[in-house]
Amino acid sequence: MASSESTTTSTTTKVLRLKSSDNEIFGVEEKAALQSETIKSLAEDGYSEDVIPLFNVEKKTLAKIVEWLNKHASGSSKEELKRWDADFVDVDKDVLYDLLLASNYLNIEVLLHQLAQKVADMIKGKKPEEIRQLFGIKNDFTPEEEAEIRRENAWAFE
Amino acid sequence: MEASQETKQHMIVKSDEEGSTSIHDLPSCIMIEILSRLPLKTLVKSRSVCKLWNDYFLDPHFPVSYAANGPTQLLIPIVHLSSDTVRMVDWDSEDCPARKINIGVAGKGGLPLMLTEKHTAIVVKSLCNGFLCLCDEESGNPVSLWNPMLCEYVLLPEVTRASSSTVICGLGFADKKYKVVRIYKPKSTEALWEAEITTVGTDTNWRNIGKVCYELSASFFSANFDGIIHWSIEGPASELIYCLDVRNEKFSCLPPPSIFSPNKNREEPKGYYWSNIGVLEDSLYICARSSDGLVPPVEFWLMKEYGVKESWIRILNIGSLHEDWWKRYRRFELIKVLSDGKIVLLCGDQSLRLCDPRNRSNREVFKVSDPMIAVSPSFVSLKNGA
Repeated sequence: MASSESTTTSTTTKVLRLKSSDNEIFGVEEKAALQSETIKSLAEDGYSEDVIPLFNVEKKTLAKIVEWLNKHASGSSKEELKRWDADFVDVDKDVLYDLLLASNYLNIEVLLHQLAQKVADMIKGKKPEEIRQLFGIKNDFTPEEEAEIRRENAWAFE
Repeated sequence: MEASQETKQHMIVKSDEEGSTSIHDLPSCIMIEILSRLPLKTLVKSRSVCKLWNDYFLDPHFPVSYAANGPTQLLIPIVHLSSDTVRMVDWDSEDCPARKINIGVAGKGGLPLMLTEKHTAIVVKSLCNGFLCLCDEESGNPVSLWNPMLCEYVLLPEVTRASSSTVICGLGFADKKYKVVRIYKPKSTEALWEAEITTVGTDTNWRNIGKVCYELSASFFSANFDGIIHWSIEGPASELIYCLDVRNEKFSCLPPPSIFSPNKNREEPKGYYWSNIGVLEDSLYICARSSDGLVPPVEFWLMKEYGVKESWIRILNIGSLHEDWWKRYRRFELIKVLSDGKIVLLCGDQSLRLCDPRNRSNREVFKVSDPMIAVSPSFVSLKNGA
């Protein structure tokens, strides 16, 4: 929906067309899209008149990314952006992972940092067992190895 | 039968994994971005989550990322060194600074006995990525590289060429190797300073890499940025910053900010000195200060684009401070920029302060009596590579 709206209303601003790995095309104003270093270099390489293929991003993730790009190019106030960003990253873990992978691939540093901070905040203050449980990680240390690491950092476990 | 059941189970697990992305699908660069944002206490705990996570901490890029993003800073005394006196400050992004905690890092004492027996006093003379270069206080000779977080040290080769003046040292990192530089004045002649270098864990001696034709400042630490070691030059604001490329071991120079340069009005800059050089986020900075006047400015300049003289910008000017700090050799270290734009600063080696560059206000957060340096934690062991 967002794509048709922006293509019909914007006659003066240039719109880049981004194609997800599952062939959905999103129209994004150039100013918003160029926050991605990857899109920027693809556009400079002459893809800008054409469709820019993003082979590593599925449409459900690209839709979220486009939403973020548009919001961050909209000139919202700092306070408003802060609130909006907090809501934006408040999603399920698997969505977070997909967004992290996409922002890394698209090289959108600000977004990558926000997402990394969100995951870090989830880990903050937790014990190793709690962290494993949260992320479904299997403990592959032998009891001796684990004891050794704990011994090295005894102060943190006090 | 048994086998097919096993296959089936395996299939279920597999499809589950395929359905959604797991944290193990994230590449190490993203995991390092995440883990380097943890407070130190949670961070060291999370080392024991699984082998893969533990490996991220050992990545040479981790301490670099932690220095930029991590909310915790270690404060380590430059003299009277022992890990019992190491402190830790957590910067909470919301309401910083939060806590200060004394930690005895990995046991008591910290400093290797071998060093304390051999030298009357050990001082920190340089740091890079969480590693400290320990030197003999009297001669200035570098003797060891120390990781306070792991309480681990590597001895440097014995020095064979004596110096008639205090040795200047530098520590740099490039291509996964640490190198220590020793700049000394040969006793036999009145010649120039000589430089020698050693690759930590590889070299068993010091290799001469040529002469140094400037009087480098022995008081300020060298700054490692992108594989290049930087020193400020002694005396009134010099037109040069002296550099050594760790990769090819060649010396070169960088232009400092032009504001105090004699080119402006052909006069000697009045009482201005370059103080310490350091790294803030992704840029080199230099501290400029005056030795006279009642309220001399301490200014910080940031080189936005490395190597480009015109790209130096003044990012902070702190007003009147504690008068003790006007002693010329006190360091003014920029530590980090917080999310609200405030800058964490270690003034005169003693006072941790929070500055707001917009209104030039600054307040003390924490004070110590012995001179300290701010260090970012590293879990990288130098012994693995040796």
